[in-house]
Amino acid sequence: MSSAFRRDFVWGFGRALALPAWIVGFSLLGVGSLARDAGHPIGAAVLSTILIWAAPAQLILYGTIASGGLLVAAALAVGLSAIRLLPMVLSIWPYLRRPGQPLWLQLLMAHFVAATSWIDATRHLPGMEPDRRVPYYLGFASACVAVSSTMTALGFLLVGALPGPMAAGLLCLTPLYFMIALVGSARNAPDWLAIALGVGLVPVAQITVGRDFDLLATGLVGGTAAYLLGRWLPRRAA
Amino acid sequence: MSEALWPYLVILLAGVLPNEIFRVAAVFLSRGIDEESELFRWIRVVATTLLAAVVCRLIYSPAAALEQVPLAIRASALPVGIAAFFLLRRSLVLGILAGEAWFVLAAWWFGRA
Repeated sequence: MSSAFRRDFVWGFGRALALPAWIVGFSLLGVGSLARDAGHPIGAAVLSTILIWAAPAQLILYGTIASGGLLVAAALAVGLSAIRLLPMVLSIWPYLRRPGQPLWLQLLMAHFVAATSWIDATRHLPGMEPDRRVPYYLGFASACVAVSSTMTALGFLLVGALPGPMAAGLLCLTPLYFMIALVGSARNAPDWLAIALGVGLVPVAQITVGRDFDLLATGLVGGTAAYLLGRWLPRRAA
Repeated sequence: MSEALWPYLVILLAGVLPNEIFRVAAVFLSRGIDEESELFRWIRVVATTLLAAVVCRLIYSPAAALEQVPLAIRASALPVGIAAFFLLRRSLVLGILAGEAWFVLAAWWFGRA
């Protein structure tokens, strides 16, 4: 490992430890306690954080097991929730993809894509020297996975020990962080429209297409509308 | 098969497999996508919309402990956090802290009332 790689890896690792890793970690606390409710061992709970690395998928999986639902239904719901990872990986790929990268490295970088690493990558990778992006990103994501695995175990062991408002407050951290980071990194009309439509269309989508397809429908319909309106509005104003 | 291995098999087959398949698919679909193309711009906007939708879902139809706090308080934490973010030199930490402080105090007050 070159010293430049190590320096940028440590840079990303530290950047994550400064805040984002703890936010995603706290949301995995809840997954740990849910895994215990589902009757799984602590090892499986931690493994799910490392190998699935998507809190919504874990919540769906453990939520279904805990409520006695079918595993096939859980797998389908997990798949539906994971479709969003496809545009997320694609949209940061031009910043991470370098000539000559081995396939295992590409798969590892794609595996690390989740909401927290995606929003940081969207904010910081474009303005960074191309050679520093990959080690920074790997360091950032490694810190998130390390903290989250620990928090999953902690949540498993501490289940139900927190008073109501505190437990609710922890669950509120994730939406707050994502929303402020989204607003903070919005640069143009399509970005702002995407945020507004993404938030606004979910209740409508839950009524029309149901809770299994609400995210997908909102992403496709709202995202396409934001893209088209964002192109059309500035031209009209000009 | 041993009973103790069952949970791990569940994680792999019902969790990892249906989830990871989309990341792997993206790696292979990415060949030839141009950063400046309209297709790429559209994908970026869809990804942003999806994350905003995840936020709304976490607030609007949340998990257990959060559900006990009224929707008005859950939803109000977002504008409080965003306002604090812009007022306090665009600090992510201070924005989150302000939103959290508002949320926990309001939830606590609601629990007493």
